[in-house]
Parts: sequence; C-alpha cells; structure tokens
Amino acid sequence: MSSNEKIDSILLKVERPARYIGNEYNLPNINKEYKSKFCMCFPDLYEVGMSNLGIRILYHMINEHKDAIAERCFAPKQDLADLLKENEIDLFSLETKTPLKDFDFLGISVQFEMLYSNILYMLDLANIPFYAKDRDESYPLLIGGGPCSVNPEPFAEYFDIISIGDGEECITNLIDLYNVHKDKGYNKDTFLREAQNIEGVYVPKFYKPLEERFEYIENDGKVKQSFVRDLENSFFPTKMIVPNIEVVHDRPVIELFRGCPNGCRFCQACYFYRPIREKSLDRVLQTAKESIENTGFEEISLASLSSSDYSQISNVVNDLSNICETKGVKLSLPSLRLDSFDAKMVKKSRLGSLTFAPEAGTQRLRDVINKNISDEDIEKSITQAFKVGYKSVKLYFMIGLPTETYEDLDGIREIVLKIKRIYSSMGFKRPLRITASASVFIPKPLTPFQWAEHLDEEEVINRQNYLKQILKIKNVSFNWHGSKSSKLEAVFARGDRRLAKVIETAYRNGAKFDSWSEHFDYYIWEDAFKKENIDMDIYLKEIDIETPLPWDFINFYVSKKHLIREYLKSKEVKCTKSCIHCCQGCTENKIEGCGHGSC
Amino acid sequence: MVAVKFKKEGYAKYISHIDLLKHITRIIRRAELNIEYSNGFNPHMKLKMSLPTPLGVGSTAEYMTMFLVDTKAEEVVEKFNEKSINGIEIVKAWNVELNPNFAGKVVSCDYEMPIKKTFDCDEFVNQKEIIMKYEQKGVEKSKDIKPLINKMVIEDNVLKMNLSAGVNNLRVDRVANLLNEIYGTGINTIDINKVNQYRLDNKKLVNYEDYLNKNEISDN
Repeated sequence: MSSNEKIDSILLKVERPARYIGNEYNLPNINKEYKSKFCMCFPDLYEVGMSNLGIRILYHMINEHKDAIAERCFAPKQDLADLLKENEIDLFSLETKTPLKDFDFLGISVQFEMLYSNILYMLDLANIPFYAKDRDESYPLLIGGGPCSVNPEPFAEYFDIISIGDGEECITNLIDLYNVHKDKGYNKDTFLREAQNIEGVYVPKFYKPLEERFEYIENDGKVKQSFVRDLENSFFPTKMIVPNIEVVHDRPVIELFRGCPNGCRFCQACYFYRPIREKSLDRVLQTAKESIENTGFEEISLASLSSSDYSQISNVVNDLSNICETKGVKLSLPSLRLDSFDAKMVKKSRLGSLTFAPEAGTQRLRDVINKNISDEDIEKSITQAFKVGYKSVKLYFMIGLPTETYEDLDGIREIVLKIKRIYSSMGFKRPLRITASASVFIPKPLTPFQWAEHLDEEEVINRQNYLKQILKIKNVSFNWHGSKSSKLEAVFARGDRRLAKVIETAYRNGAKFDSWSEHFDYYIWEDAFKKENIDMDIYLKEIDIETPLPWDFINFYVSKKHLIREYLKSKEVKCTKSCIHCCQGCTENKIEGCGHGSC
Repeated sequence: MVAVKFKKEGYAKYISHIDLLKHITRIIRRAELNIEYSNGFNPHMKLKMSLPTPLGVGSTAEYMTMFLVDTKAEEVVEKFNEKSINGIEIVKAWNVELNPNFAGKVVSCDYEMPIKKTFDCDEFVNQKEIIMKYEQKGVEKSKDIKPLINKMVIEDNVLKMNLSAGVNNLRVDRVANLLNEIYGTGINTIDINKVNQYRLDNKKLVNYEDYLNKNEISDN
C-alpha cells in the first residue's frame, strides 16, 4: 500500500475526517515549479487554525511567490495521532500528504502560551527532533512566529529561526535568501548567519543567555521586530480557502488596520501591533467584495483591534452593508469599543448580544489600567443599545489587576445592577440577560504591566468566589476563567529558556491541547516543574524595573522607556489619552504613516 | 424552480450532510444564481435536498430542488458546476413547477459496492430474521432488517442491493459492516455507491430520474 492509500484507509476510522483531507475550494496552485516548499503548521485543530487570519495571509502570500509553494498542517486529534503511530505514518501536509520532514521550511504559528506543548506534539508525530541543535541539514528549517514571538524564549531552542512581528516581509525575505543559498549549495549555518540580517529574524542558537533572576540575552541591537510599512499595498488574500467542515470563524475577515491607539496597559496586542497602519476605504471595500464573490460565504466580518477607531468606520459599515444586502450576506462587526458605541452602526449588523469590555468595576481601577471609559460612557452606550433592541449583554472583566481591591469587585456588581436599572426604566417586557465573564489578569511582555504581579492562585479563587456570591442576581450569569491555567499562562508569558525542558517533560508525560479545558491537566505541569527543579513563583511575582527581562534583547517598535513611563503613571492612577489624535511618544523611531502626531 | 441530480464522489464523500448543504449555498452564491430566501429572522436560501447519504458513502444519484427565480435548468448545470467543489457535480437538471419533495417521498435506494469475497445472497435474505446490531448515539441497538432488504445480488464481484429508505430507513454502511462480519466480504465504506433513488407511484417503484423526465409532478 502506498503511503497515500495507507492514509486514506485510516481516515474513515477517525472523527471528522474532513479535517485531514484538504481538497477544499480555492486551493492555490501548488503544482507550479518551485525552488522551496513551506509547510504552514498550526499547533491546534483544523477548525481553530483555519480561522486564523495570520496563517491565511501567509499561506496565500507564499503561494503567490514565484519560486515557492505553501501547504498546511494542523494538529490532529488524539484518534488520528494514535493511528499514525500505530501505522508508522509521519504527520503529513493536507494538500499533498507529504511528510512534514520533506519540506524546506516548517512555519509554526504560536498563538498563545497554552499551545507550547502542542508544538512538541506535532514535531513528535512528524518524527522530527525537538531541539534545533539535534537537527542537521536533512531536516526542514523550523520557523516560529505569531503573537508569542514577543517573548519566544521558552520555546526558542526548538526553533532554528523565530520571526518576530509581522510575518509578511520577514518570511518572503527568508524564502528569497534560502533559494539563493539552495542554488549555490546550502549550508545551514551559513544561511542562518546571513538570515540574521533580515528584519524580524532571531536565530536563538547564536545567543547564549546570561543568568540573573531570569535568563536573559544581551541586547546587541540586531534583533528587531519586523513590521509592514505599507499595509495599504501589502498582500491580502481574497480567494480564501472554503473549508469542508465548519470552522470557528467560518467567514472572510477583512482587516481594517493594524495597531491600536488606546494603550490599555494590560494589552499586548495594542503594543505589539503598533505602529497604527490603516487601509483605505477603497481597499477594504474591494477586498470585501472580491472575498464574497470568490468564496460565497454567508457572512463576512471586519477585523482590527478596535474597529471604532477606523477613520472611516461609518462609511465602511454603510457601503459594506449595501454590498452584503444585495448578495444575501451577513455583516458582523467585532471589537466596538464601549465609549464609541454607535447604535446606528451596530443595527446594520446582526443583532445578537451586545459585547462590552469595561475590564474593571471602578473608575479608579479603569484609570490604573488606562481603559478610558467612564461610567457615563457605559450608561450612554447601553441606553443607545437598548433603544435599537438589544436584549442581551455580555460584559468582560478581569480580576487580579494591579492594585485591585474588593471595592473594585463590588463595582462589577454595581455596573450589572445599573445596566438592569436602565433597561427596566425603559419599560421593556422581555427580561434582559446579562452574562458577566471575569478572566484572570496575566502580566504580558511588551506591556506597561510586564513588571506587575500575577495574583496568587489562592487569592484568585477567593475573588472568584466573592464574585460568584455578589453576582447571584436574577437573569445574570457569571463565568470565570480557570485559575490554574491562568497561572501557567502567566509563567510561560514571562518565561525564559529554562522552561523549554519543562515543556518537554510535560509533553512526555501527556500534556497536549492544554488550551482545551477537557485536556488540560495541571498536575502534569506541576510535576514537570518539580522534576526540572524550577520554581514557578519567580515568574509570577512583581519584577523590579531594573531587572533584565528575557525579551529585552528584542528591539520592538514600542520602546521600553514608554512602557516604564506608562507603568509609573499607572501607579499614580493617571491616564494616557488615545494616540489617535495626539502622539504619546511610544517609539523612538516613528515611521512615516503613523501620522497621529499633531496635538 | 429547478430540480437537479448530482454526484457526490472522491473526497467529497467525507463531507457530512450539514456541511454539504452549507457548501451548496456557497456554490450558489459564487455562481450568482438567483434564488429565493426564506422570510424568517435569519433568511436562508430555499433548497430541498434528498435524504442524507452516510459519511464516506459515494453517490451518483443525489437530488435537490432549488427555488430559483427566472433561471433555466440548462444554465444551472453550467454555472453551478463551474463554481462547485471537487466531487460535487450536477449531472442533470429539470425545470419543475412543484417541489418533487425528494426527501419526503423516497421509499428505497439502489447501492453498488465491490466485494472481495462472494457469498450466497439468497441464503442471506431468506433467513427467518436478520438481526443487525448497531450503535446509535452511543447506545447499542439491534433490529430485524429482513423486511428492509428488497433485493441483493452479486454480479462480477459487485454486490447490488435495494434497501428501504425514508420512513423505514436502512443504512447501507451498516449492512456492509454486517456482511463483512458474517462473510468477510471486505467492503470498504468509501467504495459504496448510491446509484438510484425510488418513489412509489400507484404501488409501483419509480426511479426519480424517470419521474423527473416525465415531468408530471402532481403532488409534493
């Protein structure tokens, strides 16, 4: 039996085989001539990975490259993994069922900390050694990227290259350089040395960490975050693949802009995706129109960190709803910030439940975290929303934020009660449903709170229990986030290279799909830390501003000076305005186009 | 409105019925066919499919009715197939006045599948009862399927069956599993093909295709 026949014969034995067969509509032409082939890997299920916009952009972009093709591979569920091992089949790509080992590049997108074990799960199934130092030229080059590249240290030693920041230009440059090297005789070390000149490239093996409280690397000025300077003219796919099974976000997503002007002090995305770069209304509409025509999806959505900050948001919503209406397509609008909530605009999209994220219960704490929303804003927007007919509100909060007290938790109840009062004063008959969710604050690298403490687990549970008590209100439901998985996420967020062996030990003892609550087993991890003799607490406590941090060697667009300034302001309970009208000086090398300077 | 007969083959066999329905709406949108939408709160395309074929089983005889406006059968075939996914292809289309109600009127289907080891079909169907055990939603069940098997013959190592469908539905993949267990017939689910669907008119079995060719749809 050929390996393809072997694969076909096991696919009917697994749940949802369509996850693994590829063969979807709009597959790019991978039968063209190429010099190198790339496999875009995602360490979670097909349904999750196919919803990821970054993967979508890079996959189609590489397939437009004249000398390269890209295929895809997602983490298989345990049922297929068992069959692969049993039948001695290596993990394969969706498009041509090629073993991952046979590619030139494997690009692994690392979306968040709880996926670290799945990186090893995929490498294991592909029969590829975990550590870069154990792989010679016969193996593909492993490139890591995605949001976690902001602090890649916990997984850095697994990879040959980490691509830090926007991937578009960095990956293209890497492929071009590799193709040149391949033509003249490829030597891995020579290639990696030269690759270091590409913006965004970090080659972990050329750096030896120093030890202090954390392992850290001296900043030699070479490792720079990469970002697309001309987003307007940069590649964006309009012939996205139409999956054969329902995926998490089953629709084309049209990017409005990158970056966020609001500067909430806990938010990594805000600082990591700066500078703010908008796409023109024309480009957005054209992309949307082509996407609908090429895919036939019944729904389309807009993406950005804060859509209401898009300079032409009302035009985009108006024009797009007209296009959608004629084609029987629904338009969904995400991430509308509470203070800019425009009821007319929302009415154009589907009336589901209204989502607001005040994040904290009191004005004081909102000032600390720089969530620039006042009680009055909440009142106004909620009233507007009820007028257009919303009967259901979702509220997002965080617990364990720096300086949080029980008074701030009481504030959450006050907000819920106030919303109920507003609703009943408007005389509606149908009851209002409120869902309040509280996640646990995690100090993330490249945020002003990167030095802050992750609240002790016991106290997290106390506060969760307190909220459960005070939110026992009719028609209000309360969700909270697991304290143990939050704790681990916090450890890895600010982790260093020592954690690579913890991840390995945990994986060998069965950790995988840790982002799925039904798979997450905290005790495997606790054991792994014990075995490797590493104290989790050093990663959880408050850090002194002077302490060198594991990610200090990366030269980000946003400067550390700005983060320190913001951290100190938070201690003084002082806000920083949105930078949309007035530059707040977050960088030392402001680029053209980030034109929000004139105050 | 237009009734169509279409194929489901190749990797499309792995697409579940619900996902297939979604695909068809997307194909229709890509092909820019002018279709009616329901009037509900969440408008959806008006489409009526024949009964689901089990996951993994192929078919050369799937049917559906599309509530198209001002669209001729001939142009549907071309436009739909141009924008269709691999393995889904319309083979014939008919202009109809009424919905033939494929799902509601079906009484039986023909299936064909290659077998690796032959057996005595008559002996099998002439048993007093044929008890089939199967799992449904995690619960072990069993039933006598003898009354649901209308025909079973082997020609050139191809097993041909006519099984009851619709109200008294018998799943072909389950019958294949049973035969594999008893006779070691070695049938692969992915090699099973649905080839005809029938309705009952004046106590006579009528192939859907003949029914549509006559174009005398009287009821729905």
